[in-house]
Amino acid sequence: MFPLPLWERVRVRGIQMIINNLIVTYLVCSFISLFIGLVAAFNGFYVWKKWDINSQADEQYLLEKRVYLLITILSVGFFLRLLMAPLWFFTMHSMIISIPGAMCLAGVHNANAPLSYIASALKLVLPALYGYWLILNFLDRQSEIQPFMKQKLLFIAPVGILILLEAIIDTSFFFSNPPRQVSCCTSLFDVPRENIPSMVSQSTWIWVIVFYMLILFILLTILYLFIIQKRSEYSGHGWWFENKMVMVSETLVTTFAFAVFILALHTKISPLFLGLPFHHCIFCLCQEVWDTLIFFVMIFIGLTLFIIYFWVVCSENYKNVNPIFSNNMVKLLKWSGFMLAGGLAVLSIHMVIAV
Amino acid sequence: MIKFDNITKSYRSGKVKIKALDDVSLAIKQGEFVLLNGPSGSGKTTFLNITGCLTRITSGRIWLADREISHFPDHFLSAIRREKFGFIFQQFNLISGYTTWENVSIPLLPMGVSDKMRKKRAMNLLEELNLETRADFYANELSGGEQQRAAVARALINDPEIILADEPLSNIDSENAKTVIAVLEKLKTKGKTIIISFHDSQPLITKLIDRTVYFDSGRIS
Repeated sequence: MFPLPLWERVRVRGIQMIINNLIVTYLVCSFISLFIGLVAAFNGFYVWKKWDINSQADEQYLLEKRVYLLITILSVGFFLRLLMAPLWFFTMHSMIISIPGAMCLAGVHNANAPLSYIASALKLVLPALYGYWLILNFLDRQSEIQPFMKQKLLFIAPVGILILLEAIIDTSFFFSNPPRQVSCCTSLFDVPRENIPSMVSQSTWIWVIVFYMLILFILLTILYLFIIQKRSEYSGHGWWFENKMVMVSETLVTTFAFAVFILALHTKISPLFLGLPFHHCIFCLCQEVWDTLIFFVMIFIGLTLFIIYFWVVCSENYKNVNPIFSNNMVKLLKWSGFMLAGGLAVLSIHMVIAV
Repeated sequence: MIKFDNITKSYRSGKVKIKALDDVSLAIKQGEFVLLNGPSGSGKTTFLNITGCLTRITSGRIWLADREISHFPDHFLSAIRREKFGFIFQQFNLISGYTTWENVSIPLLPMGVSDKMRKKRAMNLLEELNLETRADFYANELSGGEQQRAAVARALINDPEIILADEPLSNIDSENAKTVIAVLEKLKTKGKTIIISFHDSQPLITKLIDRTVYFDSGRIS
């Protein structure tokens, strides 16, 4: 029925699934990651409930030891997540030959949409959340009063839930791949559809321009914050510190910038870099134009660090410990700016050459 | 200066709660040589362990150089231990699989000191304690006196401000004891704070002592 070896598509209790070495490896990593996430979430919640910095009871000391264990397992979890993101896409790539009609990752995603798209999005979101936790933890450990302890302990719970959700979605994706012909990028993205506005589906410079404007705005903001924080000698209180409204607005703007980046890739950059005026597939772009991965990862890290900066300085208790942390926060801003500017430079150079 | 304010330390052994220290208040000035004296089980070792941030107190407050450290998390206490304290234990606590110079230089490992520098500093101290010929011997190949001298060298390698010694002369002969005392005397002249514990009288160190604190059943008597 299918042009592939029998062992690749197996039927377990009536459920069709595709299996190969990468899928097995990925599922094992996913299981370990789930185990780490759930153990961490359970312990984090337990310690959060009982934590009392002023207590000298033996139990408090035991809780502190649990926190050290948590830090260790979450660090392992973070590196596992970093490994799992590319592994997921490699695994998806390995499934192309097993799915009739699939020619790139778009086809594989389409075999079990929207699960596949949610799973792929989580591959970016989870390392970012882990990164936020590790940065918060790093800062927390600089102060003897550990001001972010409760916040960081509580934050593990939603991460654990997301990992559980991801594991369920991943497993559902691999275990319920219906044996049907799928549409791939050419019919998915290249053919204009009536229900999708042309501004999002056809070649246009609009999103590239909006993206550049947003990134320049973010870079200028970084420069402004950097200068203000440097000038205040770390003792001044920035007006944006502990301001939840700033945090929410900045998160929305940065998330919007990333969405615009995806739109810019889809509408203009893909056809331009691939040299195919009507081909809008980002997956093909990433597979065939290697520097796309460089600027994609750099811009993603830059935006993530920018969000993390605000999530930290807008936290409660930040003002009290500002002088200890400011040096590190300036470093975070520097890295965010460096990643964004670097990613933008790689993209711009390629764009100039392509145009 | 180290200041202890109404500190208590209780251990739980099964259902029995044991008070190792009970409402102890004490202030030790910089450069002071303090002898902790008292019978076995009176709380001297617990007090030394608390001073060196090896054990947490059950209640009370502790200040070290005007910083209250009672609530410090463990990684802060580790840093304090590493930088401020040198420990000499009754049982030496050398690692048998390591050579003498490696044992002596262990406190420098978490400070990121290079191997070359660690060996150089260890050799300087071993020379001072007449142990340079034993530098490449494994710890279990040393005599009791040599082991204690190596332990003293290990306590001094990070140039600590405070030296804590728990019955340091108990397991060594009088000749080796004299060497250790000579080192302690030198440290006193350098202005180091020394807290030393003995369960009996030690005439050899009487001339060095600035103050004697007597412990009895977990209290200062």
